[in-house]
Amino acid sequence: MDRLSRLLHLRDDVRHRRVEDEGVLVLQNEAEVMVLNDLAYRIIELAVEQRTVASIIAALEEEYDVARDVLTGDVMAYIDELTNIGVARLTDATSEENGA
Amino acid sequence: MAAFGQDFLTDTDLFPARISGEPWGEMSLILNVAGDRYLVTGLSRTQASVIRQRFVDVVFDQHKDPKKNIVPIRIFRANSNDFRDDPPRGEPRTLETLPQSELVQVAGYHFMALLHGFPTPATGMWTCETAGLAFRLAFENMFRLMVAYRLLMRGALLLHAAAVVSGAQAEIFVGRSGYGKSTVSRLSRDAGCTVLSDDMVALCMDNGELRALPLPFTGELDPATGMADCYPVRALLWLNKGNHHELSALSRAAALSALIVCAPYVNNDPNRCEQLMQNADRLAGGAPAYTLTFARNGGFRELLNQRLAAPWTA
Repeated sequence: MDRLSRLLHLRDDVRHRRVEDEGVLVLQNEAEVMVLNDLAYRIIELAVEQRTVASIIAALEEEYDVARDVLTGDVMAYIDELTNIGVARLTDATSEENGA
Repeated sequence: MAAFGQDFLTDTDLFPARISGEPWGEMSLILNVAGDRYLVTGLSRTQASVIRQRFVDVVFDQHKDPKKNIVPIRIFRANSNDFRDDPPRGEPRTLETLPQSELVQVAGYHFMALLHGFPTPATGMWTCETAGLAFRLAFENMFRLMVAYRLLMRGALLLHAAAVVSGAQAEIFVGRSGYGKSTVSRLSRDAGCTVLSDDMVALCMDNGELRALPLPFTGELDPATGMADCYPVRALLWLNKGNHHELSALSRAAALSALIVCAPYVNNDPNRCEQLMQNADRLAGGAPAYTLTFARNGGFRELLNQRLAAPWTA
C-alpha cells in the first residue's frame, strides 16, 4: 500500500508536550526524552489525531510556507526516523477500519 | 513478560492489597526532609536506632509544628520466607515498581511497600529486616522513592543532580550516573564552594523563585554541615565531560528534558507523566540552563563565576 495512505501511530508509552517553539517527547519505557523542532513536534500532534501521512502533509502544507515536494520529503524522512527508532509505526488504514 | 515483584518475592500473590499489618514495635520518629514531615511508626527499638543513625540530621522525636502536613509511613512485619534471598543481578539497591492510578506497588530486597492515597501519599512498608545495614538499605530504598513521589505531588522534583553553593546561590549539575556529578562536586569543594549533595537534590518553586532543597541522600561525598533549608538556584547545568571548559545555553525544552531524564522513580510512571512534564516545565523556566562541558580540573569554576555573575530574568 502507498505509504501516504497509511496511519501514523505513536507508541503507547510516548508522552509529549510543547515547550515554547519546540516539543518534548518522553519515551517512558526507556526514561528517555527527545527534543523536537517545531515541524517535528507538529507531526507528533497530528499523529495523535489518527491521521494518514497524506493528511498530515496536507495539514502542514496549510500551516507552513514550504513547497509541497520539499515538505513531503521532510515529513517522510522524519516519519522514517520515528519508525526506525521504534517510537512510531505506520499501519494500514483499511485494516484499522476493519478492526484488524 | 516477568510478573511484578518476582525478582524479590517468593509469591507475588502475597503482595498486600492495603496498608495494614502487624507493626514491628511501638517506636516512632519524624524525618524532616525537603519541607515534609514523614512520621515513621511501627518501628522496633533497633529499627528506630538504625534510622536515627542514618538520618541523624533530619530526625525528630516530636512533631513540633502541627500546621505542617504529616506524611505517614507505617512499618509492618513480614516473614523472611516471603522474600527471595538472592538479590537479582547482584544489585542490592535495585527495586521494582508497579505504578497505578491511585497507588504504587514497590518490591525490593527484603521489603514490599505500598504508596497509597495520592495526591497525599501514605506508605506501608513490610520487611523481614530488623537491624543493621539490611534494614537501613531496605528503608532507604523505599524512602527515596517515597520522597520522589511526594515531591512530584507538591509540584517539585527529586533529581539525580549535584548541588553546589557558590556565594548564596546553588548551581545544579544535572546528569545521570557517570556524567561527572561527583567530579564537579569535588572540584567545586576544592575551590571553596559548599557541596549540598553530589547525587540527589530536590528542586521546587517558591514564590516564583527556583530553589534547591538539600536531601539526606548522598553519593561519594559527605554532605556539608550547617546547611540552610533551601537555596535560590542560579543555574541548571547539564553535564558533559570533555577536554575543555565551555558553557552553552540550553533551550527550555532541552532543560525540561534534562530534568525529566534525571528524575528517578517517577520518570517511568505512565500515570504521572503529565504531572512530571508540568513540574519539569515550570522548574526549567526558573533559572538559566546550560550545557557545561568540563575537563577534569577546576577551570570550569572560573567560567561559571564569570558567566553566571550577571542577573538573569526569565
